[in-house]
Amino acid sequence: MFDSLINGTDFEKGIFVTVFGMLGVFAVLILFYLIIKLFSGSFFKKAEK
Amino acid sequence: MDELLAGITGIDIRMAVMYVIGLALIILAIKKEYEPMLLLPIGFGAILVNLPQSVVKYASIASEPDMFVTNIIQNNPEAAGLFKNYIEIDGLYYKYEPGILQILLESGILTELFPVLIFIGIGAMIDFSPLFKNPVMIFFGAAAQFGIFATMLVAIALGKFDLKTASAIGIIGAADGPTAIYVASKFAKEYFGPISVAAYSYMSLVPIIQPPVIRLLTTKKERMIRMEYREEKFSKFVLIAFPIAVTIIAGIVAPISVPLVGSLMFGNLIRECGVLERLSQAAQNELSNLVTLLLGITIGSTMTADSFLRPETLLILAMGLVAFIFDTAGGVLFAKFLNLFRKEGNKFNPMIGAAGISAFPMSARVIQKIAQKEDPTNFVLMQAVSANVSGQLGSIVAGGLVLALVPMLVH
Repeated sequence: MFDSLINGTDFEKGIFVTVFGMLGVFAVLILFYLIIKLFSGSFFKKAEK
Repeated sequence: MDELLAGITGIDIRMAVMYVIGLALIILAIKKEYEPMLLLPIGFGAILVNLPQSVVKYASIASEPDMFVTNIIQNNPEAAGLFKNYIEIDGLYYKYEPGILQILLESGILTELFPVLIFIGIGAMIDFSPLFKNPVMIFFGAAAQFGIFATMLVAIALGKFDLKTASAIGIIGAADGPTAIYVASKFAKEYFGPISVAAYSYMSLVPIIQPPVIRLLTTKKERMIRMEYREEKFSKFVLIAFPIAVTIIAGIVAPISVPLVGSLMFGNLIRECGVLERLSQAAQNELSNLVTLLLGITIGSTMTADSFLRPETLLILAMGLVAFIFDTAGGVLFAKFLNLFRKEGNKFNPMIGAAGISAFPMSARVIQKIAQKEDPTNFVLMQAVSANVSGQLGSIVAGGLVLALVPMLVH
């Protein structure tokens, strides 16, 4: 599938970059969110309650 | 006698147009205060490089072409990269001695040195505290990057740009000058000037671009939504550990983004560690100022009449506007989407989504201004600032992902 994409049009490649780019940004920022929560101790505080 | 008059006879109409463009940038910087630290040096650089027989870009160019190099490159165009200090004129390659601005371009921008140094300075200036106090706002920093990708698709659809160039144009939507410069230096060297000018110009036009888009996509009732402000407590440890953790994650997810993210986070670590106050101040002031000065005038030096005065430049400037419109729309619509799942009284004011761009703190101020116009007692500034800080993270992550994804698809 990836090989066919490499031989595809620039627009098809653009769609791929858009989908995976946006998913990637959300995934990385969700990870950052979890890190902030973890470092802030929110998870632990909730567990204690 | 001809040599004495060479300066006067060497001026052509295209150079004169570039003087007007350079002057316009300088006027915008001084009169309107649109990103003066960048637009003024860019404007001056554009004038400098278009002076007849200007030696700031090329100190000297050989009078005869080097036929040995010309033949090799004509038989194998990919070999062009092997020969440094050769300029192509009408298909023939001439050896040149670089002038001061060309030296700065080759050693400061094409090597990525200036953007990386700028990122250290920016990192030392960023205070992530507003984000840690209200971490849920980080998602708006992701949604508002939509403009990057939407603009890239529009640029490709125009049929004038390939994937690499279109993605460099899309990065204008990061609303983050150094990221735009960094990506353009890798993917679209020939459009470096227009992309940089568009990135910085539209950043300063956020107060003009965002309000109409927000009004178009929201009702008055939505713009009047009040948001309860809750601050989460965090320790000094979070401030120190965060830049280290972000660097490691970015390095694993998109290794190519490490110079970008790593330098930003290094600057931030210097700021937050509490024991490097002098270095932090140096990064925020001396380093940032010096590199900004050189960066601006070097960008201006890429704006030769031949490379700037072409239809693609107008398209790139138009695409910059499209990028900021899509950014704003992406953030606002994402907030409206989240509101579908939130209870009454706990909804987001959708305008907050528009603050998820990297133009800090301008976008947050714009949102607060609109909110107060609708309801003078409504304060959403703190939430908007949190979203705005997350936009600074989002833009750099988006830039890193574009740098990682696009080369995978290009032969």
